[in-house]
Amino acid sequence: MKKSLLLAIVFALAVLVALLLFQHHPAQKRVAVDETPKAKAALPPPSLDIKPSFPAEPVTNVQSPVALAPVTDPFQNQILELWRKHASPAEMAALLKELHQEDSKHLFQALLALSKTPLETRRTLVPLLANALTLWPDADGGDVFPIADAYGQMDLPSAAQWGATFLATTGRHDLNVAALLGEYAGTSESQALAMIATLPDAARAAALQDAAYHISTSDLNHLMDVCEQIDPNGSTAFSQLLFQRLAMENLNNTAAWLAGTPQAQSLPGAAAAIAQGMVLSGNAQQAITWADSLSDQNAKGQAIAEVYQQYTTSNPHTSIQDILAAYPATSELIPNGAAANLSGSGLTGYWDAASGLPDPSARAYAIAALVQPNILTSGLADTQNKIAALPPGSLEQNVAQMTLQSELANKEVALALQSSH
Amino acid sequence: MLIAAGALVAAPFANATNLWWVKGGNWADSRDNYNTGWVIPSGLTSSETVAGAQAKADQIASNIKYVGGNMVRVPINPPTVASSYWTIVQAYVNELVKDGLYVDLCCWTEKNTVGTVDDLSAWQTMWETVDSVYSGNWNIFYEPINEPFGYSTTALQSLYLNDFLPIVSKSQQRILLDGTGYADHLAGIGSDSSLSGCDLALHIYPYWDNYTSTGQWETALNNRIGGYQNRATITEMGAYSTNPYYNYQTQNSGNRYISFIQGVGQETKNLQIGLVYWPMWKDGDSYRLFVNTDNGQWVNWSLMTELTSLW
Repeated sequence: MKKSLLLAIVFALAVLVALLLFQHHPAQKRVAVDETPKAKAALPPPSLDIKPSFPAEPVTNVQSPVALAPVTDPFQNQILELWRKHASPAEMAALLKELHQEDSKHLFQALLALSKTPLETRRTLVPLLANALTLWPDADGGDVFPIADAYGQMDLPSAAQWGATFLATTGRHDLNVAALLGEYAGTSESQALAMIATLPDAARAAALQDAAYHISTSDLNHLMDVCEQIDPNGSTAFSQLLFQRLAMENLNNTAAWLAGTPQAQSLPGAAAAIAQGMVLSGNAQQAITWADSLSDQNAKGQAIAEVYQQYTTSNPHTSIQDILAAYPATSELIPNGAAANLSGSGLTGYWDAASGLPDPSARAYAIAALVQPNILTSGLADTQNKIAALPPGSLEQNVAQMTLQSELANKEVALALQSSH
Repeated sequence: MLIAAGALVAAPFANATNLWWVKGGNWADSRDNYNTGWVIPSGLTSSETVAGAQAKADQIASNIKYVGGNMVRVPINPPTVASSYWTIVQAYVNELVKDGLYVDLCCWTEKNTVGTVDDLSAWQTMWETVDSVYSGNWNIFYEPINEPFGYSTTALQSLYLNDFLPIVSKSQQRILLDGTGYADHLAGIGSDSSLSGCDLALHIYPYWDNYTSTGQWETALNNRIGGYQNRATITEMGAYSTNPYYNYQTQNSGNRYISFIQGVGQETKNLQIGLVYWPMWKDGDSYRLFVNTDNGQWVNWSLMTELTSLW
């Protein structure tokens, strides 16, 4: 009797639990299909000056709303209710603002949940929410990302188009939205770059930085043209990130191409990225030779500074000795491991000896190796004066300047300078 | 009953937890964790696949478990989490967790010369994104900002209290707040009672003090912890591994780096605090413990042995 009663209670509890679970997790079939439409969106040709184009007619939910499984969350319900009524973006924006004021964290959770609704719902709900965000320039970034993310996964061309409008209209630079345009550059480069070109500076930089990771790298000459057009002075870091990517994915080919293409050597960050990649891949000697092969003097300076910095990170005790061994009659200039311990007149002597080396690259490396010890022993001002006294515009002066900037960002040097004040 | 159980799980813990059991390593970007774009741990590339990221995570897990570790600290930043690469990050993080490890997600800033959050809104959105995936995952720790040296103590307290904690749902027992400066002292953040539910992250390096005995380094660590050992974990410490002349098992060496590893390691054991080495994997770094992320080969046997005997 007791056993049957116990069984009955267990059974009743199991039914109750099952009912509760059913209520909170309504059975929804997961849509396991490629959700990105293959058809290209109707976008203007890349040569056109694209202006931010907020839809003249509000995008409304023209399809018949799909019957959804019951949702218990009141915020989600209110949003879905408005969607079912074919509300305009302005009406949805008003609701979102209201809900945000009521409980911002709850709205964030609701948007997250709604971004995971079945595809037939998202197809119209997400664009409606996205267009509502365009009318809400003060929206929290946290409210933007679930919508941008869901839109991008569902329909990247339309999401990118919306993203361009959103960023241009609101003046914002949300990384999640900018990333939609960057990702779009991987499949529709000219259209994406044309849209990115219309954005305000901060949004443009963010979108280009992401584009550097998605743009096709199969034609290096074409990439050079792209870099020259969209990032001529390196202000967006596009070419720097692009060449860092190339160093990871196609190092040797890119290095050979860069060495044989003088015009490309001046692309901001290109030479340094390839030099860094060579040293990191364990080919320091190759990196030294490659840096010397560059015809552009600024690029050569960047490559030499990077080779020195990166190789010293890996081999702090032997780096300068190893590097100078590549040049005749310099290997005894600085004894093994001594660079870090030089001080006083000894340091000045080494600086003078380094400055007098016949080979310009060897001079540049040798002086670069003395920058940190000089800062630590004689101070920043003395180091700056010594660098200023080098032949103006020379390779060694350029390398010394770049090395100085790197050293100032070095934790060890920064702390030493702090404690000396 | 169900509701009561749910409430128990969701309720924030009142007190920070002691993380004495943490033994880990940093898995860092070979270029640098300070990055304008995506931060990509060593051994991965910008064109990584989910399967490739999972396989690399399995190798990392195998390496660290072999030496008795249980945590991997990985870098994140707003551009990475906002991009398609976030899928890859989740792939290797989830795989590390699946392999039985704890993961500390730490945010790096864009440049190493500033020491403050680059863009507050982007930083908050990043943490909201991370939290939407990992808030309930007990194996994941959050470290809101690495080495926040650009903030005064009160500004850093405010960043944590007003800009970070309100936007995440994570249990405070899984939040590691870097100390002030280069995360080099804990007292400033440890003394703030409004942050007392969180754990504290300390960094210490041999070039910060010119000590050459283990006792001096033990004292130095103690001073930097400032009495907050019950909440402290070292999330960065390390020394030269590539110098063939350094034998980290030499007693009374008089060498700054050897005595640093021995002293900090011993004091970590004495105080019963966690320790995460910098870097365990970072191709080309002169402090790295593993040669690369491919085969589990150690750079310096004596350093690995000394370190793992103390944790």
